[in-house]
Amino acid sequence: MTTLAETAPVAGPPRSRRLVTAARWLRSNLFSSWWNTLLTGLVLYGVVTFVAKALNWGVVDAVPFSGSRAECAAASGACWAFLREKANLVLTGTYPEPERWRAYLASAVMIAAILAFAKAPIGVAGRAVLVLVSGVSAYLLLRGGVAGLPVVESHRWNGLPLILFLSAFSMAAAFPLGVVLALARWSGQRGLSLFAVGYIEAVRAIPMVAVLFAGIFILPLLLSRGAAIEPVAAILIVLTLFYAAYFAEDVRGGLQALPKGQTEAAASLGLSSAQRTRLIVLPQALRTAIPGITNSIIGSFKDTSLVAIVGMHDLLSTARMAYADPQWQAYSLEANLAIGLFYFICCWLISERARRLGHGAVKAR
Amino acid sequence: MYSYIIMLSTRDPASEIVPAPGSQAFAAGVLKEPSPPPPGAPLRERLHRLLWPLVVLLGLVGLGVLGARNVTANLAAAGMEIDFSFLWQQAGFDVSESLITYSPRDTYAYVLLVGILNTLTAAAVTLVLASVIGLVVGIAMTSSNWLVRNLARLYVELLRNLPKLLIVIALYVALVRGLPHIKAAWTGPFGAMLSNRGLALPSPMIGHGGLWLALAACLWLVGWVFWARAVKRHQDATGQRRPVALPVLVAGLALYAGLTMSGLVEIGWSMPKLTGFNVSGGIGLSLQFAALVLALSVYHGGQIGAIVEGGILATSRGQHEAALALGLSRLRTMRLIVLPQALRVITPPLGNQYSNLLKNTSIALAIGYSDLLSVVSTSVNQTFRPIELMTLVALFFLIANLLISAGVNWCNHVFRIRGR
Repeated sequence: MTTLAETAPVAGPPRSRRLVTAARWLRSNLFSSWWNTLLTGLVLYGVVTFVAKALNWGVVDAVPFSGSRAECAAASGACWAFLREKANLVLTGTYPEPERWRAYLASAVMIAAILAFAKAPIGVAGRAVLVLVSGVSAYLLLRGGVAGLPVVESHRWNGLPLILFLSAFSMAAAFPLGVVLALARWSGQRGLSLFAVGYIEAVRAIPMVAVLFAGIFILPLLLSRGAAIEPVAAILIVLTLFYAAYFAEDVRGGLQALPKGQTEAAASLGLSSAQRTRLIVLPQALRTAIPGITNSIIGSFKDTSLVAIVGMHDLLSTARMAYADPQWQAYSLEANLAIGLFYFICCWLISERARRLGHGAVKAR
Repeated sequence: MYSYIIMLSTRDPASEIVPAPGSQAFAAGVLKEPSPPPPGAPLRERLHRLLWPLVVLLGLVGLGVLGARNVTANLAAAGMEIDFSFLWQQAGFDVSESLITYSPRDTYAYVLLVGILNTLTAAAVTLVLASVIGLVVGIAMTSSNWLVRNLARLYVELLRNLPKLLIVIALYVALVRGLPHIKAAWTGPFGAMLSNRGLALPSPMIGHGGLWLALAACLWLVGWVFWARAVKRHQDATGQRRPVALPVLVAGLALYAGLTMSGLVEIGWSMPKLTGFNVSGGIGLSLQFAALVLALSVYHGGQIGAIVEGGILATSRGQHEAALALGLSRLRTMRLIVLPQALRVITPPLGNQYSNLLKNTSIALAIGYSDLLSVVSTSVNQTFRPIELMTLVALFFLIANLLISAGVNWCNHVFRIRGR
């Protein structure tokens, strides 16, 4: 190999050698045996037919966003014009038309807050303030009743702002609660640990749909007589309680991986138990738990869509409203693809961010 | 370092003001602290350790008592109390499908049983399908074929990032809209009928001689076990392997043919037929059931695939190479060497997946399949007894989860590395 490299011209390897490398790669990765060759052939055929059909449907025969319903009825492919026509309905649902800008503004506030939460160097206290400020402003924007904005009932908060509101703030509240639960389980205090174990295991055994039902039907009964709670608030509370158990389980993994010597060393340095937890235990345990926590964040974000089952109109059900319109009935696939793309991009961004965080953590060591 | 200093100094009431970051303040903070811990925890810390849990627990108990009092007060105001006797009243609503005969005149307890059976059926079928998909995808992810490997990865990554409810609803809507109306149902081979109501298949009906059939089946199974043992003994003694699957299959077919042709057993087929707007005869598979099971299988298949991949990658490469060097075929290497070892790694997360799968059948409510939760939701709306009904639901899932973890523990015990 060295002699070859030495005699090779400066301008790079000759074309024939590149071809040989490519052929070798193809041979070892696609045609290494008759079985692999057959498999490659079959899979390639399947992929090519699928991609060709999808391209035909989605691009060649499709009606672009600027099209009209008449064009859609005549075309055999996808009707992207449907998405433009129904964009407001899918994103904000039944939020009153003249107030729609508030739903969009609230969404923008929450997205900005989520980005700042993930990226800005503001520490734990800064993040708590951020959550509080963005939560209150999003709530006031959606709800109205201040600064001359007309009140919009919470059952009309639909689509994007609802999904952002529920998932962002339930997780923001559930994570600290989960950390506390995990610490209680880990603490070695028998009563606390027993309670934490019971809570975590019970919640993790019950399906989320059942928990949502409990929020709608049972939570109002727990309040003192005459007090009422809006469904959105009830769902926010039960989501928080539900996700906390999952976060607690992830953090527990990190706590278990922590060498005992760390806490002992901290104790021998004279740190109190609160200081040990805050400065020694949690930073290391949370760093180890990043993969699990990422999975739980993605899972929670996806599962927030289940609120559709108890009658909250999230993106899935606003999309359903859109293709329930008799005029646009045939285009459910387009709507579902768009929602799928939204979720895919969001979840992909979350895991990408977590991957960076993991690398940063390794470097910081 | 900065937060470290703050923590050290705030513990001391004398230095409430946070010092500026710097080595002097740090030194001062350290100096004010009793640096070596006294033998045994200091009294204050011991009090802390005792006091805090007590306060928290008391708070929780207080909240619980308050909640219970509110519940009884709220129920009393509505003239109700917690009472399970409504279970023996007539339910009065219909379900999408049922394994056992059900009519709206049956009781709430009975309709809950129907829901539980439906949940378990959907979960069992999904479990098998998802495991098969997961196994295939997991093996494909470790394939040496670039195209297959990356296609499998794409599948797993795609499903990791999509909500299951979206998959279920999209599939259901696509099936309802894509399949023909029942009047124009597609008829397949053997009289199978596919329409937007569901799939209808012919079902076997035993005319007479059921006893003979059962006897023959037992005989066949016993023969299978004996033959497999004989093959194993022969292989241990001589190293030669005789076929198992083919003779067993042939024997089974021969037994069946012998019984039916001699007239000892008569098997008729009930064919699905269109009567009015319904299909009668055969066995039906509703569209809701099919959409739920397919969507959940595809969803969990991706997750199980990732688990299987991890298990295979955890098996040392040398095992694989050694098996190939011994002349085992690729299929046997996978079946006899790699997968049994991977199974040990796979079992715990797989158990977790199965428990999730059972819980996830509850999204059936979105497409109108009568699983436990959708039956309960209707019952709650009719009786307004959410506490009693949700307690039963929680109880069911707690027991089911305990059983699943017992099963996983048993599997761990069976698959453990023996005698080393």
